[in-house]
Amino acid sequence: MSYQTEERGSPNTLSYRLYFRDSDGKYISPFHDIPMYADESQNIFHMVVEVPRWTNAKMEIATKDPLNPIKQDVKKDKLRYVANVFPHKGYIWNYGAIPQTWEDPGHKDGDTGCCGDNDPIDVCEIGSQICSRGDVLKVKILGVLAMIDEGETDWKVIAINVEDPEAKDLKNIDDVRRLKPGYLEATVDWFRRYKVPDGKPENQFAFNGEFKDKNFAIETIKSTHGFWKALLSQQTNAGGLNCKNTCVSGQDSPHCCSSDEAREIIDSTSPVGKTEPIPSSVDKWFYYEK
Amino acid sequence: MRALLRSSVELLSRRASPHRRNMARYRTEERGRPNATDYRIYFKSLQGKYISPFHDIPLYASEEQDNDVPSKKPKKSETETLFNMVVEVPRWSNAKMEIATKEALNPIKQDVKKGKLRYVANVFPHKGYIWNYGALPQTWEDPSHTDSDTKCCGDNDPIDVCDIGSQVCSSGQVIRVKVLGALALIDEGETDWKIIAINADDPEAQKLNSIDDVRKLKPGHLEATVDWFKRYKVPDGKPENDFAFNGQFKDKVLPVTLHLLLYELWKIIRPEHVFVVCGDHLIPCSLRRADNELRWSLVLCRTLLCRSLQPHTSTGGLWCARRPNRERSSGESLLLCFTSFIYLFIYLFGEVWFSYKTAFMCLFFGSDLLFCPYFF
Repeated sequence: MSYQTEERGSPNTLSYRLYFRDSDGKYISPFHDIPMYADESQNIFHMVVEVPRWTNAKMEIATKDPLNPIKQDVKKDKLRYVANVFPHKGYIWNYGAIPQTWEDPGHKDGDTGCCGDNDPIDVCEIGSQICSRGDVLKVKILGVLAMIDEGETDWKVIAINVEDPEAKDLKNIDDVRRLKPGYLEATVDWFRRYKVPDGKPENQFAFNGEFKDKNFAIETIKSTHGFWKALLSQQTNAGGLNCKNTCVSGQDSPHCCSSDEAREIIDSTSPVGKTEPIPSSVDKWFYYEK
Repeated sequence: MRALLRSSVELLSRRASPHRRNMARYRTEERGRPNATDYRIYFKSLQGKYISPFHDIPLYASEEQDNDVPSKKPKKSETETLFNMVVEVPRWSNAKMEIATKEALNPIKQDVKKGKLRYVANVFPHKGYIWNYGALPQTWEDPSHTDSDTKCCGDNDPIDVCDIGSQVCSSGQVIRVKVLGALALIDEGETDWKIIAINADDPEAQKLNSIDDVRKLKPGHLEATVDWFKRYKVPDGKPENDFAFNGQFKDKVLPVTLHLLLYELWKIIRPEHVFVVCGDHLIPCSLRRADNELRWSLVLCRTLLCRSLQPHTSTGGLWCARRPNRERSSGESLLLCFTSFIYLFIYLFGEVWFSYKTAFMCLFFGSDLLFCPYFF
């Protein structure tokens, strides 16, 4: 199954939305309708790319909007751009989420001691190719970092695109250390400091900032998949989350979204407009003594 | 590759292409297609006349630009001299754009190696170039001159500059910069000085006046710069590059090729010298002197020394040093030489002579008054 995207609104503005369709042209939710597994027997997962490597716009799956399009995060009514914390430029991997997962804010994690951040589990794809926003990749899991972002559990899965030329040589987190020296350290450094230019403190990590291996990562992903299933079957309070989907829930479920309803949702958004320039303040490089 | 091109297009569209920008003093005109071998950026004056960014843009930035005649006095920002810099490569981009020194009107074009457009590699953790990269107009690293510090010949190009300001500039943009220091790179056996500078319009420009200020305000950037230049050609199969001075940054250096004799002379007297730009001459000097003293004495030195020693002049439309106004008799030259050297000797070695400074100044000034026409 391959996926397409449909842009609405003007890029780099508040109106911008990126909707998803499957290969039959049916509107779907990237949060709920894309299967978590691309190949369960091989432990290959799907990943929805939100932020291409080296860009700054903080794009994310809009978990509270119907059909969960990708949109740009807003803080204090302003579009959010991640700072460039020297020596990094924007995000240093293709960043996104694994569909059909959810870090439950009602569940306190045994390892981090914190509750989930109410979002799908985040993935950092370390391959050479710069992906596009909205790409759906098949990835191999390599490890995971247990970040505590502003007091919430925020796992960061490390993965590689199965089509990357080095994918066959990367089987576990130690292979990353060997083939891409410095990348894991840069990852911890990035997550530790990326909010400091916005006036927030450095982030903390469980396990002393150590990466856990592939098996631990897969177990973590599976547990967040369990939380998501509970969410969709209404066993868990959704809070503000929008669980509308076109493929997963049965027709008698309140979460089921018909194609007409989907059409209405799309039509309520602005048509594609001119791309606005990114403010030059986004180019600033922030320097800190480590 | 598609995604790479898309992100390049994204970067390009983010900044309006140079010919649409309202550049203060120069305009550009694009020809050909970006990311293709026929792409060129030509330069024009505000009056619409085509100019060469290599030869026609003055080295010194100036307030007025009347009828294409550059001001003779360098523009000063407080007590600093500002230079023009032609930006070739915007920060964080990869296309190796450069002033085409061998083409008429020297447009900016993309470098080609083995028939293919050249893109600089991303050497982790760096993305493309980590500063706005470009050149100082009206400068040239002479391939027939062996630099005493690097022991190598020049790379036949204008001097390279790295602008460490926050703004990401466009290819073809001409900005005014303040020089902070330099790195003596030996790139594939050729001398390739890298000037570290800051855009004069940068919000932090006032706070950055020396290489030490860069260390304080932008910790890690200088180390990253050395690392970048050391390793940037390794992905292309070339070896790591070397540096003179052990990769140390020289403070306020502008090693323009001129005054070979002067250079050698000072090397003998002061092995650990640094250079200060004074007008359009390069004067070596000790760092121990206070800035104002330095500037005053250097200005005087320049008058005495550079007038008496015939400045080196290169030809061919490349960088030309100033010539004296008239022929001197050998007696005049000898006297000037003598007074110049005495003065300089005393000034540099003469911390104990400080109290005699005024007396000596009068003596030398007096001798200079005899040769008024030579005074700047």
